[in-house]
Amino acid sequence: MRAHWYSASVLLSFSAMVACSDTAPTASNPGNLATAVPAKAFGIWTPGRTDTCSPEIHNQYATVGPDGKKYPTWHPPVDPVTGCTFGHEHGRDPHGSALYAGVGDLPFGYANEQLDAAGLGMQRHEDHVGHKVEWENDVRIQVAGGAGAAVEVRCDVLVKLHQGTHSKDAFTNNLHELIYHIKCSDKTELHVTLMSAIGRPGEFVSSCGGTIQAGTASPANAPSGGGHRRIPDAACLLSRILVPSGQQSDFGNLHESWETSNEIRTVDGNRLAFFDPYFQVFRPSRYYDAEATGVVGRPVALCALTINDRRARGSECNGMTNTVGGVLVSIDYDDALSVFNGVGRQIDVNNNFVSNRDGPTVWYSDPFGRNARTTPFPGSIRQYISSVNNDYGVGVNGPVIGGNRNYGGNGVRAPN
Amino acid sequence: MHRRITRVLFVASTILPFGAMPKATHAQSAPAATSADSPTNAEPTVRAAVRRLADKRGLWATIGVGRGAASLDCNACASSTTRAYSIEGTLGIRLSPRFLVGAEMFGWLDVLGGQADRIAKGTYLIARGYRNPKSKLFLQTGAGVASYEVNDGEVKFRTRSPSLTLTGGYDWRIDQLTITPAITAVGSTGGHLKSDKTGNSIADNARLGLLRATVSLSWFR
Repeated sequence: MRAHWYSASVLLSFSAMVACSDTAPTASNPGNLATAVPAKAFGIWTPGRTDTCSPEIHNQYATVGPDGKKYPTWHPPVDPVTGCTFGHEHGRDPHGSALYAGVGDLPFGYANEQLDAAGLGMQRHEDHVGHKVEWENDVRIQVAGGAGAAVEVRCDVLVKLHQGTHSKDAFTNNLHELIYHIKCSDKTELHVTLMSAIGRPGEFVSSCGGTIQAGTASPANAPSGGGHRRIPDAACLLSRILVPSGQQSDFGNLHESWETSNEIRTVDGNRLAFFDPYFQVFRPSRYYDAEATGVVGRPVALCALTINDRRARGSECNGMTNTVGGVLVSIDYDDALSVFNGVGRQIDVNNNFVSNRDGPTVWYSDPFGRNARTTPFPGSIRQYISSVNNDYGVGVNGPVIGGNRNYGGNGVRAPN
Repeated sequence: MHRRITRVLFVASTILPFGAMPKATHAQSAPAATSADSPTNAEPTVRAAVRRLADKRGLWATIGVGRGAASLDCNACASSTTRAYSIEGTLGIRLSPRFLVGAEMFGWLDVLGGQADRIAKGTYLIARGYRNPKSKLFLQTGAGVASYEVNDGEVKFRTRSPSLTLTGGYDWRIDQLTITPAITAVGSTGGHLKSDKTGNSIADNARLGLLRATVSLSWFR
């Protein structure tokens, strides 16, 4: 399968050389993987103690980005050729997306790389395992209002967000790479890559409400964005998971919701596109604990924790503990047996507004989607925005996708 | 029934001035259809009047009401069929007892209740033909433009496109009137569905389908 996949990549590159036009949805690069310069995101994964794949095998899952550099891309959790395991997953195989034929492999870390070149005085590089792909074909977009009942928009959606939920990164860092492809029956079409500024840097919103100042972001001059990152914290979890006898733990609070708010604006400030998908992760392998080492608490550890008569009670903790020398201890947070590994996710597609009637479809913006113009500039990212205005005056909201899937198993474990 | 009416008409035609008989000038009720019933010893002047009537050319007008189901189909259209009442009117000329041409307009109005008004309208050039001068059954076809609009008072979606119409009907003569029950199919294609807020086409090749049953009154002069 890997060989087949490689053949597809080569074929895609060849097709791009032959067929790529300036108005094509994405700028497939005709470059060659073998000679491409590696981007910073390439080759950074190393196997953990239980992962059986080598970095060399992992690095075979690569693609050439629009800048001609080599980037990691989606791969299955188990290498189909050798059967080795990577221990992490990137979500749904994008090859099944109806948009894949047009957009090709998703280069993980391309927007981060462009930020380096943008001259904005900041860098932001993210780990490998946090890149999560989700897609759905032919989803129905709800159109509200009386007249809206006459309209039924259906879309193909292919999304990748870097959403690491195993480390302290997102406690302070609000910049995360987002690749967003959507094509709808009402001519709405977006192929956008950017660094999504999700909420404000240095802080996040607790799952129980309230803002928690978690430190200094990296980069420290990261711009603020709309939305927020809702992440569980210790105070919130302890009161809901450690419960007295006779009660059940509420593991629903062990849930992250990154509510993004993204737009492409021209250099004149005109908004060309706006979209605000929410990315939710269930049972992540971390929560914020200011008292813990590295400010990261591990949910699985709560299964072995007792405070007076309060402890975790619920099926989620089944098999999460061992008794060693008469002491109840939890399994390691990165044990493949742990259910707290962030493999359950969903995306609320939400709004997709395009205000580009009769405008050019190809724009070049900075990595934050700003300063868009029709010619490339250093650090710019090519964005495709269809030449329509789809703000009909009625609410258009996308559905939830991915909520019925679970990407666990096959050796997948935290950090994931 | 038919024989009694045609006899009445024949008698009337011998009494009334030609121009005072709008009913008798109905194309398919043309006295030519009554020739078999004509008295073999009729006065020559009467037979001449009958022939003139059969050959008469003149104006023709129709007004009707009906009920029908309409649906709009396109890449971004909700697939649903809505039923509502319709009105229509036709003005034309009779070129011969068997062949009529004219212009027709209809409106299909789903405006009672619901969260949004849905209105279909059409304007056509039509041609109607009867198999023979005695026939009461006719087929009518038309070509024109149809539009379909959904409007909730704040937001409006609309499409307008070339359209064809096909009608099958039966002329039922009662005294001075012609009452015509008919079935009409309307189809249009190639429309651009647009929102009044955005102006640009949301979906191309919007297709309107409408099937309505009507009853109309006709006047022939």
